[in-house]
Amino acid sequence: MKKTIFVVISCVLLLGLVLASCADGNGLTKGEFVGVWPKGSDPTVAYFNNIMSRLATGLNWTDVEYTGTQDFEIPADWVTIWQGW
Amino acid sequence: MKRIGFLIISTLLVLGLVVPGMVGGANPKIEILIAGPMTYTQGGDMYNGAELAANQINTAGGVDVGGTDYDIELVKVDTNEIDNYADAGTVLLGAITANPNAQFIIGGFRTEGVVNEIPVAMANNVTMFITGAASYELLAEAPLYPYIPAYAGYKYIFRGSPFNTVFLLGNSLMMLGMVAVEVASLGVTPRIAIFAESLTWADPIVEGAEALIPAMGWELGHVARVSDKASSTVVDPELNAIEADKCNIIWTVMSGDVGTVFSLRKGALDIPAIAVGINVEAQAASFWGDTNGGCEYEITMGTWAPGVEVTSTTLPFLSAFETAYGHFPMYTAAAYDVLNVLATAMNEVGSVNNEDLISWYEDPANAQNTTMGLVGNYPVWQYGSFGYWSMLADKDAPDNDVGFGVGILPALNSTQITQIYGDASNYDMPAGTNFTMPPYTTHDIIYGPTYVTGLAIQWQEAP
Repeated sequence: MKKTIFVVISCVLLLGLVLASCADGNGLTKGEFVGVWPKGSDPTVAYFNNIMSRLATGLNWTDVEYTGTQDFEIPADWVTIWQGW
Repeated sequence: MKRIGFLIISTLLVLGLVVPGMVGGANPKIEILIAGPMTYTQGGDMYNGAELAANQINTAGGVDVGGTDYDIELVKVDTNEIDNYADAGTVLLGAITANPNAQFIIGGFRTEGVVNEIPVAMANNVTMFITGAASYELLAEAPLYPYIPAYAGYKYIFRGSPFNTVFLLGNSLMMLGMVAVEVASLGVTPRIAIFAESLTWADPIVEGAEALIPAMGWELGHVARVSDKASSTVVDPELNAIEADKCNIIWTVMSGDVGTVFSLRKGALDIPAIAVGINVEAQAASFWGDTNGGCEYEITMGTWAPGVEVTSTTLPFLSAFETAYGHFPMYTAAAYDVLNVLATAMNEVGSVNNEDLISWYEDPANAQNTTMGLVGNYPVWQYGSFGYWSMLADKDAPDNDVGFGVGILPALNSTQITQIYGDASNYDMPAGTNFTMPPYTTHDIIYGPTYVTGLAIQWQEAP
Protein backbone atom coordinates (compact mmCIF):
# COMPACT_ATOMS: atom_id res chain seq x y z
CA MET A 1 0.00 0.00 0.00
CA LYS A 2 2.78 2.40 0.97
CA LYS A 3 4.60 1.56 -2.22
CA THR A 4 1.49 2.32 -4.26
CA ILE A 5 1.04 5.67 -2.55
CA PHE A 6 4.72 6.48 -3.15
CA VAL A 7 4.42 5.65 -6.84
CA VAL A 8 1.25 7.75 -7.20
CA ILE A 9 2.84 10.73 -5.45
CA SER A 10 5.97 10.38 -7.57
CA CYS A 11 3.90 10.31 -10.75
CA VAL A 12 1.96 13.38 -9.66
CA LEU A 13 5.17 15.24 -8.87
CA LEU A 14 6.72 14.21 -12.17
CA LEU A 15 3.61 15.30 -14.06
CA GLY A 16 3.75 18.60 -12.20
CA LEU A 17 7.34 19.13 -13.30
CA VAL A 18 6.52 18.31 -16.90
CA LEU A 19 3.50 20.62 -16.95
CA ALA A 20 5.49 23.40 -15.32
CA SER A 21 8.18 23.14 -17.97
CA CYS A 22 5.52 23.46 -20.68
CA ALA A 23 3.58 26.21 -18.96
CA ASP A 24 5.15 29.14 -20.76
CA GLY A 25 2.00 30.02 -22.64
CA ASN A 26 1.11 26.80 -24.41
CA GLY A 27 4.69 25.99 -25.25
CA LEU A 28 5.60 29.51 -26.26
CA THR A 29 8.96 30.80 -25.28
CA LYS A 30 8.85 33.42 -22.62
CA GLY A 31 8.46 37.08 -23.46
CA GLU A 32 9.71 40.17 -21.73
CA PHE A 33 9.22 43.87 -22.23
CA VAL A 34 12.12 46.17 -22.66
CA GLY A 35 12.61 49.91 -22.86
CA VAL A 36 13.05 50.86 -26.50
CA TRP A 37 12.60 54.60 -26.70
CA PRO A 38 14.20 57.01 -27.13
CA LYS A 39 17.28 54.86 -27.70
CA GLY A 40 15.84 53.28 -30.82
CA SER A 41 15.42 56.58 -32.55
CA ASP A 42 17.08 59.89 -33.03
CA PRO A 43 14.77 62.39 -31.39
CA THR A 44 16.44 65.24 -33.20
CA VAL A 45 15.30 64.23 -36.67
CA ALA A 46 12.94 66.47 -38.50
CA TYR A 47 9.89 64.31 -37.91
CA PHE A 48 10.08 64.78 -34.20
CA ASN A 49 11.00 68.41 -34.28
CA ASN A 50 8.17 69.02 -36.70
CA ILE A 51 5.65 67.33 -34.45
CA MET A 52 6.89 69.01 -31.35
CA SER A 53 7.05 72.41 -32.95
CA ARG A 54 3.36 72.05 -33.61
CA LEU A 55 2.60 70.77 -30.16
CA ALA A 56 4.81 72.71 -27.84
CA THR A 57 7.67 74.64 -29.28
CA GLY A 58 10.62 74.89 -27.04
CA LEU A 59 10.88 71.34 -25.78
CA ASN A 60 14.36 70.20 -26.59
CA TRP A 61 14.32 66.48 -27.16
CA THR A 62 18.09 66.23 -27.28
CA ASP A 63 17.92 66.71 -23.53
CA VAL A 64 16.11 63.48 -22.63
CA GLU A 65 17.70 62.17 -19.49
CA TYR A 66 17.20 58.43 -19.78
CA THR A 67 17.78 55.88 -22.46
CA GLY A 68 15.99 52.73 -23.48
CA THR A 69 17.68 49.44 -22.85
CA GLN A 70 17.69 48.24 -26.44
CA ASP A 71 16.37 48.86 -29.94
CA PHE A 72 12.89 47.91 -31.00
CA GLU A 73 12.38 45.10 -33.48
CA ILE A 74 10.27 44.65 -36.60
CA PRO A 75 9.98 41.02 -37.79
CA ALA A 76 11.48 40.36 -41.20
CA ASP A 77 8.55 38.21 -42.37
CA TRP A 78 6.16 41.09 -41.81
CA VAL A 79 8.39 43.36 -43.88
CA THR A 80 8.32 40.79 -46.67
CA ILE A 81 4.52 40.78 -46.56
CA TRP A 82 4.38 44.57 -46.61
CA GLN A 83 6.72 44.73 -49.59
CA GLY A 84 4.41 42.36 -51.45
CA TRP A 85 1.28 44.42 -50.86
CA MET B 1 -2.56 38.50 49.66
CA LYS B 2 -5.31 37.83 47.20
CA ARG B 3 -5.92 41.57 46.98
CA ILE B 4 -2.26 42.30 46.20
CA GLY B 5 -2.30 39.65 43.52
CA PHE B 6 -5.44 41.17 42.03
CA LEU B 7 -3.80 44.63 41.95
CA ILE B 8 -0.66 43.31 40.28
CA ILE B 9 -2.67 41.50 37.64
CA SER B 10 -4.88 44.56 37.08
CA THR B 11 -1.83 46.80 36.72
CA LEU B 12 -0.25 44.42 34.23
CA LEU B 13 -3.47 44.29 32.24
CA VAL B 14 -3.70 48.09 32.12
CA LEU B 15 -0.06 48.31 31.07
CA GLY B 16 -0.72 45.69 28.49
CA LEU B 17 -3.40 47.86 26.99
CA VAL B 18 -1.42 51.09 27.16
CA VAL B 19 2.03 50.02 26.05
CA PRO B 20 1.05 48.59 22.66
CA GLY B 21 -0.74 51.82 21.94
CA MET B 22 2.45 53.70 22.62
CA VAL B 23 4.71 51.44 20.62
CA GLY B 24 2.64 50.90 17.47
CA GLY B 25 0.75 53.79 15.90
CA ALA B 26 1.48 56.31 18.62
CA ASN B 27 1.80 59.00 15.98
CA PRO B 28 -1.25 60.99 14.98
CA LYS B 29 -2.72 59.91 11.66
CA ILE B 30 -3.10 61.56 8.29
CA GLU B 31 -6.02 59.87 6.59
CA ILE B 32 -5.92 59.64 2.81
CA LEU B 33 -8.57 58.13 0.56
CA ILE B 34 -7.27 55.97 -2.30
CA ALA B 35 -10.12 55.91 -4.78
CA GLY B 36 -10.24 53.79 -7.88
CA PRO B 37 -11.59 50.66 -9.56
CA MET B 38 -10.18 48.32 -6.94
CA THR B 39 -11.33 45.07 -8.51
CA TYR B 40 -9.20 45.85 -11.56
CA THR B 41 -5.41 45.95 -11.76
CA GLN B 42 -5.68 49.65 -12.58
CA GLY B 43 -7.14 50.32 -9.15
CA GLY B 44 -5.26 47.58 -7.36
CA ASP B 45 -1.88 48.93 -8.36
CA MET B 46 -3.02 52.44 -7.51
CA TYR B 47 -3.60 51.25 -3.96
CA ASN B 48 -0.43 49.14 -3.93
CA GLY B 49 1.67 52.13 -4.93
CA ALA B 50 0.15 54.27 -2.21
CA GLU B 51 0.50 51.49 0.34
CA LEU B 52 4.16 50.99 -0.49
CA ALA B 53 4.82 54.70 0.00
CA ALA B 54 2.83 54.78 3.24
CA ASN B 55 4.66 51.77 4.63
CA GLN B 56 8.04 53.26 3.79
CA ILE B 57 7.11 56.63 5.29
CA ASN B 58 5.64 55.12 8.45
CA THR B 59 8.53 52.71 8.94
CA ALA B 60 10.92 55.65 8.71
CA GLY B 61 9.06 57.34 11.56
CA GLY B 62 6.29 59.13 9.73
CA VAL B 63 5.97 62.58 8.23
CA ASP B 64 7.65 65.31 10.23
CA VAL B 65 5.20 68.19 10.26
CA GLY B 66 6.40 71.09 12.34
CA GLY B 67 8.24 68.77 14.72
CA THR B 68 5.39 66.28 15.12
CA ASP B 69 5.59 62.92 13.38
CA TYR B 70 2.43 61.76 11.62
CA ASP B 71 1.67 58.30 10.24
CA ILE B 72 -0.07 57.86 6.92
CA GLU B 73 -3.32 55.90 7.11
CA LEU B 74 -4.92 54.83 3.86
CA VAL B 75 -8.58 54.16 3.24
CA LYS B 76 -9.30 52.02 0.18
CA VAL B 77 -12.32 53.22 -1.78
CA ASP B 78 -13.62 51.01 -4.59
CA THR B 79 -15.35 53.48 -6.90
CA ASN B 80 -16.18 50.78 -9.46
CA GLU B 81 -15.70 53.51 -12.01
CA ILE B 82 -14.80 51.23 -14.93
CA ASP B 83 -18.15 49.48 -14.75
CA ASN B 84 -20.31 52.28 -13.38
CA TYR B 85 -19.34 55.84 -14.21
CA ALA B 86 -22.50 57.44 -12.89
CA ASP B 87 -22.22 56.25 -9.31
CA ALA B 88 -18.51 56.98 -8.85
CA GLY B 89 -19.25 60.35 -7.27
CA THR B 90 -21.82 58.89 -4.90
CA VAL B 91 -19.37 56.23 -3.77
CA LEU B 92 -16.70 58.84 -3.17
CA LEU B 93 -19.14 61.01 -1.24
CA GLY B 94 -19.92 58.04 1.00
CA ALA B 95 -16.24 57.56 1.69
CA ILE B 96 -15.73 61.24 2.48
CA THR B 97 -18.70 61.20 4.82
CA ALA B 98 -17.48 58.06 6.56
CA ASN B 99 -13.98 59.47 6.95
CA PRO B 100 -14.48 63.12 7.91
CA ASN B 101 -10.83 63.58 8.85
CA ALA B 102 -9.61 62.70 5.38
CA GLN B 103 -8.60 65.86 3.53
CA PHE B 104 -6.91 64.19 0.56
CA ILE B 105 -7.93 61.82 -2.23
CA ILE B 106 -5.48 60.05 -4.48
CA GLY B 107 -7.18 58.36 -7.41
CA GLY B 108 -9.62 58.69 -10.24
CA PHE B 109 -8.89 56.45 -13.20
CA ARG B 110 -11.68 56.60 -15.75
CA THR B 111 -12.47 60.09 -17.03
CA GLU B 112 -16.17 59.33 -17.32
CA GLY B 113 -16.19 58.48 -13.62
CA VAL B 114 -13.78 61.19 -12.54
CA VAL B 115 -16.06 63.90 -13.87
CA ASN B 116 -18.52 62.74 -11.23
CA GLU B 117 -15.89 62.55 -8.50
CA ILE B 118 -14.39 66.01 -8.99
CA PRO B 119 -17.55 67.94 -7.98
CA VAL B 120 -17.77 65.83 -4.82
CA ALA B 121 -14.20 66.64 -3.85
CA MET B 122 -14.79 70.32 -4.59
CA ALA B 123 -18.02 70.52 -2.62
CA ASN B 124 -16.44 68.89 0.41
CA ASN B 125 -13.22 70.93 0.31
CA VAL B 126 -11.12 67.80 -0.11
CA THR B 127 -7.99 67.94 -2.24
CA MET B 128 -7.98 65.38 -5.03
CA PHE B 129 -4.88 64.27 -6.89
CA ILE B 130 -6.11 62.59 -10.06
CA THR B 131 -4.04 59.45 -10.54
CA GLY B 132 -4.91 57.65 -13.70
CA ALA B 133 -7.30 59.78 -15.76
CA ALA B 134 -5.45 61.70 -18.47
CA SER B 135 -8.08 63.89 -20.12
CA TYR B 136 -6.81 67.45 -20.28
CA GLU B 137 -10.39 68.69 -20.00
CA LEU B 138 -10.51 67.61 -16.35
CA LEU B 139 -8.23 70.50 -15.41
CA ALA B 140 -8.72 72.91 -18.30
CA GLU B 141 -10.75 75.26 -16.13
CA ALA B 142 -8.56 75.10 -13.04
CA PRO B 143 -6.74 78.39 -13.79
CA LEU B 144 -10.04 80.22 -13.59
CA TYR B 145 -10.71 79.40 -9.97
CA PRO B 146 -9.27 82.55 -8.44
CA TYR B 147 -11.45 84.74 -10.65
CA ILE B 148 -14.79 83.13 -11.24
CA PRO B 149 -16.80 81.87 -8.27
CA ALA B 150 -18.27 78.96 -10.21
CA TYR B 151 -14.79 77.49 -10.56
CA ALA B 152 -13.60 78.13 -7.02
CA GLY B 153 -13.60 74.44 -6.19
CA TYR B 154 -10.85 73.74 -8.70
CA LYS B 155 -8.32 74.93 -6.18
CA TYR B 156 -8.66 71.43 -4.69
CA ILE B 157 -8.11 69.50 -7.92
CA PHE B 158 -4.66 68.48 -9.14
CA ARG B 159 -3.29 65.74 -11.35
CA GLY B 160 -0.58 63.41 -10.12
CA SER B 161 -0.30 61.02 -13.07
CA PRO B 162 -0.16 60.62 -16.01
CA PHE B 163 0.68 63.67 -18.09
CA ASN B 164 -2.44 64.81 -19.89
CA THR B 165 -3.87 63.82 -23.25
CA VAL B 166 -2.34 66.80 -25.03
CA PHE B 167 1.06 65.37 -24.29
CA LEU B 168 0.02 61.75 -24.54
CA LEU B 169 -0.72 62.56 -28.16
CA GLY B 170 2.66 64.19 -28.65
CA ASN B 171 4.50 61.39 -26.90
CA SER B 172 2.58 58.75 -28.83
CA LEU B 173 3.29 60.49 -32.09
CA MET B 174 6.99 60.47 -31.37
CA MET B 175 6.80 56.74 -30.73
CA LEU B 176 4.80 56.33 -33.92
CA GLY B 177 7.41 58.39 -35.70
CA MET B 178 10.13 56.10 -34.39
CA VAL B 179 8.42 53.12 -36.03
CA ALA B 180 7.20 54.89 -39.18
CA VAL B 181 10.66 56.21 -39.97
CA GLU B 182 12.03 52.67 -39.65
CA VAL B 183 9.26 51.24 -41.83
CA ALA B 184 9.91 53.88 -44.48
CA SER B 185 13.61 53.06 -44.40
CA LEU B 186 12.68 49.50 -45.37
CA GLY B 187 11.17 50.77 -48.60
CA VAL B 188 7.58 50.55 -47.39
CA THR B 189 5.19 53.46 -47.11
CA PRO B 190 3.88 53.66 -43.55
CA ARG B 191 0.15 53.00 -43.63
CA ILE B 192 -1.30 53.51 -40.20
CA ALA B 193 -4.50 52.14 -38.76
CA ILE B 194 -5.94 53.49 -35.52
CA PHE B 195 -7.40 51.15 -32.91
CA ALA B 196 -8.89 53.18 -30.09
CA GLU B 197 -11.39 52.97 -27.28
CA SER B 198 -14.62 54.91 -27.56
CA LEU B 199 -13.88 56.88 -24.43
CA THR B 200 -13.49 60.57 -23.69
CA TRP B 201 -9.76 60.48 -23.03
CA ALA B 202 -9.11 58.88 -26.42
CA ASP B 203 -11.12 61.40 -28.46
CA PRO B 204 -8.57 64.23 -28.72
CA ILE B 205 -5.77 61.75 -29.32
CA VAL B 206 -7.61 60.11 -32.20
CA GLU B 207 -8.72 63.43 -33.66
CA GLY B 208 -5.18 64.76 -33.43
CA ALA B 209 -3.74 61.67 -35.06
CA GLU B 210 -6.25 61.74 -37.89
CA ALA B 211 -5.10 65.26 -38.67
CA LEU B 212 -1.39 64.80 -38.11
CA ILE B 213 -0.69 61.42 -39.72
CA PRO B 214 -1.41 62.65 -43.26
CA ALA B 215 0.42 65.86 -42.46
CA MET B 216 3.51 63.82 -41.68
CA GLY B 217 3.41 62.28 -45.13
CA TRP B 218 2.11 58.93 -43.96
CA GLU B 219 -1.07 57.19 -45.01
CA LEU B 220 -4.05 56.98 -42.67
CA GLY B 221 -5.81 53.62 -42.94
CA HIS B 222 -8.69 51.94 -41.16
CA VAL B 223 -9.89 53.65 -37.98
CA ALA B 224 -11.54 51.42 -35.33
CA ARG B 225 -13.31 52.84 -32.28
CA VAL B 226 -14.46 50.13 -29.89
CA SER B 227 -15.67 49.75 -26.33
CA ASP B 228 -13.03 49.43 -23.62
CA LYS B 229 -14.73 46.13 -22.81
CA ALA B 230 -15.06 44.86 -26.40
CA SER B 231 -14.84 41.11 -27.00
CA SER B 232 -13.32 39.21 -29.89
CA THR B 233 -16.69 39.40 -31.64
CA VAL B 234 -16.04 43.11 -32.12
CA VAL B 235 -12.26 43.08 -32.23
CA ASP B 236 -11.76 40.37 -34.86
CA PRO B 237 -13.65 42.13 -37.69
CA GLU B 238 -11.73 45.32 -36.98
CA LEU B 239 -8.39 43.50 -37.10
CA ASN B 240 -9.39 41.78 -40.33
CA ALA B 241 -10.37 45.16 -41.77
CA ILE B 242 -6.97 46.54 -40.83
CA GLU B 243 -5.21 43.69 -42.63
CA ALA B 244 -7.50 44.04 -45.65
CA ASP B 245 -6.61 47.73 -45.68
CA LYS B 246 -2.92 46.72 -45.85
CA CYS B 247 -1.92 48.70 -42.80
CA ASN B 248 1.59 47.92 -41.55
CA ILE B 249 1.27 49.94 -38.34
CA ILE B 250 -1.59 50.00 -35.82
CA TRP B 251 -1.67 53.02 -33.57
CA THR B 252 -3.28 51.95 -30.30
CA VAL B 253 -5.20 54.08 -27.80
CA MET B 254 -6.47 51.70 -25.12
CA SER B 255 -6.68 51.65 -21.35
CA GLY B 256 -9.16 48.87 -20.60
CA ASP B 257 -9.64 45.13 -20.96
CA VAL B 258 -9.95 45.44 -24.71
CA GLY B 259 -6.18 45.89 -24.79
CA THR B 260 -5.70 42.25 -23.88
CA VAL B 261 -8.36 41.10 -26.33
CA PHE B 262 -6.71 43.15 -29.07
CA SER B 263 -3.26 41.62 -28.60
CA LEU B 264 -4.57 38.12 -28.02
CA ARG B 265 -6.64 38.17 -31.20
CA LYS B 266 -3.99 40.01 -33.23
CA GLY B 267 -1.63 37.17 -32.45
CA ALA B 268 -4.23 34.47 -33.08
CA LEU B 269 -5.22 35.99 -36.41
CA ASP B 270 -1.56 36.57 -37.31
CA ILE B 271 -2.11 40.18 -38.33
CA PRO B 272 1.21 41.39 -39.82
CA ALA B 273 1.23 44.92 -38.42
CA ILE B 274 3.29 46.42 -35.66
CA ALA B 275 1.23 47.93 -32.85
CA VAL B 276 2.52 51.11 -31.26
CA GLY B 277 0.86 53.62 -28.99
CA ILE B 278 -0.91 53.23 -25.66
CA ASN B 279 -2.15 49.90 -24.37
CA VAL B 280 -2.28 50.07 -20.59
CA GLU B 281 -2.90 46.35 -20.21
CA ALA B 282 0.40 45.73 -22.00
CA GLN B 283 2.20 47.33 -19.05
CA ALA B 284 1.43 44.25 -16.98
CA ALA B 285 4.18 41.67 -16.69
CA SER B 286 1.61 38.92 -17.21
CA PHE B 287 0.69 40.26 -20.64
CA TRP B 288 2.75 37.74 -22.60
CA GLY B 289 0.92 34.88 -20.96
CA ASP B 290 -2.42 36.70 -21.06
CA THR B 291 -2.13 37.04 -24.83
CA ASN B 292 -0.43 33.72 -25.57
CA GLY B 293 2.51 35.69 -26.91
CA GLY B 294 0.25 37.66 -29.26
CA CYS B 295 1.80 40.84 -27.91
CA GLU B 296 5.18 40.10 -29.47
CA TYR B 297 6.63 43.24 -31.09
CA GLU B 298 3.89 45.41 -29.58
CA ILE B 299 5.13 48.77 -28.37
CA THR B 300 3.27 50.70 -25.70
CA MET B 301 3.93 53.83 -23.79
CA GLY B 302 4.93 53.20 -20.23
CA THR B 303 5.76 55.08 -17.11
CA TRP B 304 8.53 52.67 -16.20
CA ALA B 305 10.40 49.87 -17.94
CA PRO B 306 12.66 47.20 -16.49
CA GLY B 307 16.17 48.52 -16.04
CA VAL B 308 15.38 52.04 -17.24
CA GLU B 309 16.50 54.50 -14.62
CA VAL B 310 14.42 57.61 -15.19
CA THR B 311 15.56 59.07 -11.87
CA SER B 312 17.61 57.76 -9.00
CA THR B 313 14.46 56.52 -7.25
CA THR B 314 13.01 54.59 -10.21
CA LEU B 315 14.82 51.29 -9.85
CA PRO B 316 14.59 51.10 -6.04
CA PHE B 317 10.84 51.70 -6.40
CA LEU B 318 10.42 49.02 -9.06
CA SER B 319 12.39 46.55 -6.97
CA ALA B 320 10.43 47.29 -3.80
CA PHE B 321 7.11 47.10 -5.63
CA GLU B 322 7.88 43.76 -7.26
CA THR B 323 9.11 42.38 -3.96
CA ALA B 324 5.97 43.49 -2.16
CA TYR B 325 3.35 42.65 -4.77
CA GLY B 326 4.99 40.13 -7.08
CA HIS B 327 4.50 41.94 -10.35
CA PHE B 328 5.63 44.93 -12.37
CA PRO B 329 3.57 48.03 -11.54
CA MET B 330 0.94 49.46 -13.81
CA TYR B 331 1.17 53.24 -14.31
CA THR B 332 -1.48 53.94 -11.69
CA ALA B 333 1.07 52.80 -9.09
CA ALA B 334 2.39 56.34 -9.48
CA ALA B 335 0.19 56.90 -6.44
CA TYR B 336 3.53 56.09 -4.79
CA ASP B 337 4.96 59.33 -6.15
CA VAL B 338 1.83 61.32 -5.43
CA LEU B 339 1.87 60.31 -1.79
CA ASN B 340 5.57 61.01 -1.39
CA VAL B 341 5.15 64.47 -2.89
CA LEU B 342 2.23 65.10 -0.54
CA ALA B 343 4.35 64.08 2.43
CA THR B 344 7.08 66.44 1.26
CA ALA B 345 4.57 69.26 0.93
CA MET B 346 3.31 68.69 4.48
CA ASN B 347 6.85 68.62 5.79
CA GLU B 348 7.96 71.76 4.00
CA VAL B 349 4.81 73.75 4.70
CA GLY B 350 4.57 72.46 8.24
CA SER B 351 0.87 71.67 8.00
CA VAL B 352 -1.44 68.73 7.42
CA ASN B 353 -4.25 71.09 6.43
CA ASN B 354 -5.03 70.78 2.73
CA GLU B 355 -5.85 74.48 2.42
CA ASP B 356 -2.33 75.35 3.49
CA LEU B 357 -0.71 73.17 0.83
CA ILE B 358 -2.33 74.57 -2.31
CA SER B 359 0.05 77.45 -2.83
CA TRP B 360 2.99 75.10 -2.30
CA TYR B 361 1.78 72.90 -5.14
CA GLU B 362 1.24 75.91 -7.36
CA ASP B 363 4.82 77.10 -6.97
CA PRO B 364 6.92 75.55 -9.76
CA ALA B 365 9.95 75.91 -7.53
CA ASN B 366 8.56 73.03 -5.50
CA ALA B 367 8.74 70.49 -8.32
CA GLN B 368 9.75 67.15 -6.83
CA ASN B 369 11.97 64.37 -8.06
CA THR B 370 9.86 61.21 -8.36
CA THR B 371 10.26 57.79 -9.96
CA MET B 372 8.79 59.28 -13.15
CA GLY B 373 10.90 62.41 -13.33
CA LEU B 374 10.60 65.88 -11.93
CA VAL B 375 6.96 66.61 -11.08
CA GLY B 376 5.65 70.10 -10.75
CA ASN B 377 2.68 72.13 -11.85
CA TYR B 378 2.60 74.32 -14.92
CA PRO B 379 3.58 77.86 -14.18
CA VAL B 380 2.20 78.89 -17.55
CA TRP B 381 -1.19 78.97 -19.11
CA GLN B 382 -1.47 75.72 -20.96
CA TYR B 383 -4.46 74.95 -23.02
CA GLY B 384 -5.45 72.25 -25.40
CA SER B 385 -7.70 73.59 -28.09
CA PHE B 386 -8.64 71.72 -31.21
CA GLY B 387 -7.86 68.58 -29.32
CA TYR B 388 -4.12 68.68 -29.48
CA TRP B 389 -2.56 72.10 -29.54
CA SER B 390 -0.59 73.06 -26.53
CA MET B 391 -0.73 76.79 -26.34
CA LEU B 392 1.98 78.18 -24.15
CA ALA B 393 2.11 81.91 -23.82
CA ASP B 394 5.55 83.37 -24.28
CA LYS B 395 6.89 85.62 -21.58
CA ASP B 396 8.50 87.82 -24.21
CA ALA B 397 5.44 88.09 -26.38
CA PRO B 398 3.65 91.41 -26.60
CA ASP B 399 0.77 91.86 -24.23
CA ASN B 400 -1.91 91.11 -26.77
CA ASP B 401 -0.18 88.18 -28.37
CA VAL B 402 -0.60 84.57 -27.35
CA GLY B 403 2.64 83.17 -28.63
CA PHE B 404 4.25 79.79 -28.51
CA GLY B 405 7.11 79.00 -26.28
CA VAL B 406 7.98 78.02 -22.79
CA GLY B 407 8.40 80.59 -20.14
CA ILE B 408 6.95 82.06 -17.03
CA LEU B 409 3.73 83.73 -17.95
CA PRO B 410 2.91 87.25 -16.95
CA ALA B 411 -0.74 88.09 -16.65
CA LEU B 412 -3.07 87.15 -19.45
CA ASN B 413 -5.23 90.04 -20.48
CA SER B 414 -8.83 89.88 -21.58
CA THR B 415 -7.88 89.62 -25.25
CA GLN B 416 -5.72 86.61 -24.61
CA ILE B 417 -8.36 84.97 -22.45
CA THR B 418 -10.95 85.56 -25.13
CA GLN B 419 -8.65 84.01 -27.71
CA ILE B 420 -8.31 80.91 -25.59
CA TYR B 421 -11.68 80.51 -23.94
CA GLY B 422 -14.00 82.47 -26.16
CA ASP B 423 -15.94 85.49 -25.05
CA ALA B 424 -15.79 86.19 -21.35
CA SER B 425 -19.58 86.19 -21.21
CA ASN B 426 -19.31 82.41 -21.38
CA TYR B 427 -18.04 82.54 -17.85
CA ASP B 428 -20.63 84.78 -16.24
CA MET B 429 -18.52 87.82 -16.93
CA PRO B 430 -19.88 90.78 -18.89
CA ALA B 431 -18.74 90.75 -22.49
CA GLY B 432 -15.69 92.90 -22.99
CA THR B 433 -14.67 92.76 -19.36
CA ASN B 434 -11.06 93.77 -19.18
CA PHE B 435 -9.82 91.51 -16.47
CA THR B 436 -6.28 90.39 -16.13
CA MET B 437 -5.10 87.16 -14.63
CA PRO B 438 -1.86 86.46 -12.88
CA PRO B 439 0.12 83.36 -13.75
CA TYR B 440 -2.06 80.73 -12.27
CA THR B 441 -1.42 77.09 -12.98
CA THR B 442 -3.52 74.40 -14.55
CA HIS B 443 -2.79 72.08 -11.60
CA ASP B 444 -1.57 69.68 -14.27
CA ILE B 445 1.88 68.14 -14.16
CA ILE B 446 4.68 69.51 -16.28
CA TYR B 447 5.61 67.44 -19.30
CA GLY B 448 8.88 67.61 -21.17
CA PRO B 449 12.59 66.93 -20.91
CA THR B 450 13.94 67.47 -17.41
CA TYR B 451 10.37 67.02 -16.17
CA VAL B 452 8.05 64.07 -16.78
CA THR B 453 8.17 62.34 -20.13
CA GLY B 454 7.02 58.99 -21.44
CA LEU B 455 9.01 56.05 -22.58
CA ALA B 456 8.22 53.19 -24.88
CA ILE B 457 8.43 49.52 -24.12
CA GLN B 458 8.25 46.62 -26.54
CA TRP B 459 7.33 43.01 -25.92
CA GLN B 460 10.07 40.78 -27.28
CA GLU B 461 10.82 37.09 -27.05
CA ALA B 462 13.24 36.52 -24.23
CA PRO B 463 16.72 35.50 -25.40
